[in-house]
This record gives sequence, structure tokens and C-alpha cells, in this order.
Amino acid sequence: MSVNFSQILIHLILVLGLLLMIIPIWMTFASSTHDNSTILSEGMQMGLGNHFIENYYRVLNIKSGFFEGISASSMFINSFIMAFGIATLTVLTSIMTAYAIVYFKFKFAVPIFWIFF
Amino acid sequence: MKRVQFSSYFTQWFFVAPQLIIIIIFLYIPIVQTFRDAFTSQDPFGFSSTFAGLDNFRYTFSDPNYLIALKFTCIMMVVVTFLSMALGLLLAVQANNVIHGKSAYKTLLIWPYAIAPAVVGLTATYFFSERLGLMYAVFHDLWGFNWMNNPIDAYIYVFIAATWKQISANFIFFLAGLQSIQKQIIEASLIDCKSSFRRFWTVTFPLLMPTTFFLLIINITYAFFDTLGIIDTTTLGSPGGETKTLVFKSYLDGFIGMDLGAAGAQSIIMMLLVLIICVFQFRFIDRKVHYN
Repeated sequence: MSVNFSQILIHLILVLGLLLMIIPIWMTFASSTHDNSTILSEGMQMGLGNHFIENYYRVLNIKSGFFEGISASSMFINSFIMAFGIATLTVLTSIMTAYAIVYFKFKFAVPIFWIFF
Repeated sequence: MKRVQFSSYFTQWFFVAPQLIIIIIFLYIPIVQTFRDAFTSQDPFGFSSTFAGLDNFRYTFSDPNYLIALKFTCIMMVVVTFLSMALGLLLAVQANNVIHGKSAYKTLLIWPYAIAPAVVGLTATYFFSERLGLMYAVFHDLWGFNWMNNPIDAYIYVFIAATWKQISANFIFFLAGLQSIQKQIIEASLIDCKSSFRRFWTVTFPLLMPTTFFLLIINITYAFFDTLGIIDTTTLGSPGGETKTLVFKSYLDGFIGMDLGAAGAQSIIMMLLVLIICVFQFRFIDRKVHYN
């Protein structure tokens, strides 16, 4: 019975932590399914509304923003290209340098390591 | 470890060259430029500059706004590091000991890690801003929460936003560290000590010291530098500059105020501060960490 009690306590703490982490994300998502006027008049919502398709269609396809120049799907593509490219290039150059430091008799191995570190 | 070592001369430089070039262009030349900016005083559009010795540094240290920012940065570093590591450790220990639904908890608790700091700040404004905020009305009724006038409330606002993001980062690293502890040690400690609380602090936590040390560095770096996004989207250093961090102040001075000399001096001071903290950590704390 005591094992059961400690497991219940563990679950309780985890569920509290879970709520703390997830509530902001859920609130943001739930508010994104409401009308603009609903949010302005009543504050952020916790329940789902029925403007999901309309809001997401507008964000993804219609160019808006500060200069009315770009839509969110283009921003997605930009972020993806940047993240993918940066990750690949970082790993490639680091692998090359690490290989050189380990497998070559390098007079300047230690200074080179500290320059990069 | 068997190591084959080649001894050709040109190939090794060829391998190192890309990273060397990138580091020199993007790190060392800007550092030299910063030093040059910090020791001169320039006109706002960069047309002329005269050597000004230590004037920028003298001006920085006698500026009360700078001292306020320094105080806030130190407080934030201590509070955010301690809170986010404590809560992350608590959640990691529970997630390690739970029997059912381990992977579900793990998946759901990691989500804030993937959110960029500026978006974290935006989400925090959804909770705490006067017009739209969910919790603003509740807190306002409770004790007159008004982060635009009261510095303590602004501190609470920024600390909650900054800690929220780091809890999940600490959680995942602590969980990985906990799962790498060998089972025999845990079982042996079960024989020796009945109270699980004491067992944790005398056996498990010392074995977690490498992870803790690593996370300490990550958290201090986060509290110093990555919270720029959070402050820029939440308070903008609002109640009279009380919530400006050092980084935010040097960003405001350098890019918006166009005073590159003062910003350069502040950057150099920040670099020295972080260097001192890292040296301090490596000297004193690294001795107590047992790597196996």
C-alpha cells in the first residue's frame, strides 16, 4: 500500500509540472482558434473556438506583417533552410577540425583547440 | 586507445582551415573591432573617432543605470539558475521513478525547450499584460500587481518567463544523468539507508555532479545572454530601467542609441565577468566533481 501511495505522489508532482509546462502552450493554441474581437473583448481564451481554419489559412497564405510582404509559410521555409544549413555546416566543419586534431601529429594542436574553445 | 597518426603537413591545415577561417572572420575580427570601439569615442554616424583612453570605462562605472542593470543581472542569474535547476531536478527525479507513462511525461515536459526566447516572452505577455493578460487581473486583485510601476512585480514577471523555459532543458539533462547511474549502486544504497530522501542526497546527487556542473554553466550563460529575447518582448527594461540586463543595456546603447564606445566598453566588461565566473567554476567546483 505504501508503494502505491508513493507512486500516487510521484504522479501528482509530475502532473503539476506538466500543467505548468503545457498550460501556456495550450492557451496560445486555444486562443489562436478564436476571432480577433473575442480576444480583444474577453482576453485570452482557454477553450477552443471555431475559427481554426480561417485563422490558420490567413496566417499561412496571406502576406502580412510589418511591410505586408511575407506569409508565415514562407517564414517556415526560411527557418527550415537556415536551420538545416546551419546544422549541416556546423557539424561538417567541426568534424573536419576534430579529425585533424586527433589523427594528425599536430604541433599546434593545443593552441588550435583553445582558439576554438 | 590506439591512435593512428599521420604526419603529412599540408593535409592537416586543409582540414582545420574552414573552421579557422570562420572563427577568425566571425569571432576574432569583431573582438578586435570591439576593443577598438571601446577605447575611442565616436560620433554617431561613424565618420570620425578619437582615442579616448579609459573614458568609456569610467563613464560606464559611474553611470547609475549601469549599476542598476548589473544588480538586476546578478539577481536574475542567481534566482533563475537556482529555481529552474531545482524544479528541473524535482521533475526529473519523479519522472525517473514513475512506473507507468514515463515516455508520455517525458514527451510532454520537453515542449518548452523548443520555444525560442522571444516567443517565450510573447507567451508571458499573454499572461501578464494589463489588457490581454489572463493572470494580470487575478494578481492585481491579490496584491496590486502592476509591473509597469513596481520593480518587484517586474522582477517576478521576468523571472517566471525566464525560468519556465529553462525548467524543461534542465529536466531533460537531469533525466539523462539519472538514467546513466548504474543500478547496482542504487540497489546497494537501498540496503544501507531506508529513507529515500537521505538516499537521494547522499548517493544519487553526488553521482549527478558532472551533469549539475554542466547545467550550471548552461544556465548561467542562458541567464546572462539568452534572456535578451525575453526582456525585449516583455518589459523593455520598463519600470525606470530596473529590468534591464547588461546585454539588453548594451544592445540599447549600441544599436538604438548609436553610442558604440559605451556599448563596446560594456561588452568587454561582460566578457571579463563571464570569464571570471567560468574560471571560478572550473577551479573550485570542478575539483569536487568525480568523473568516472
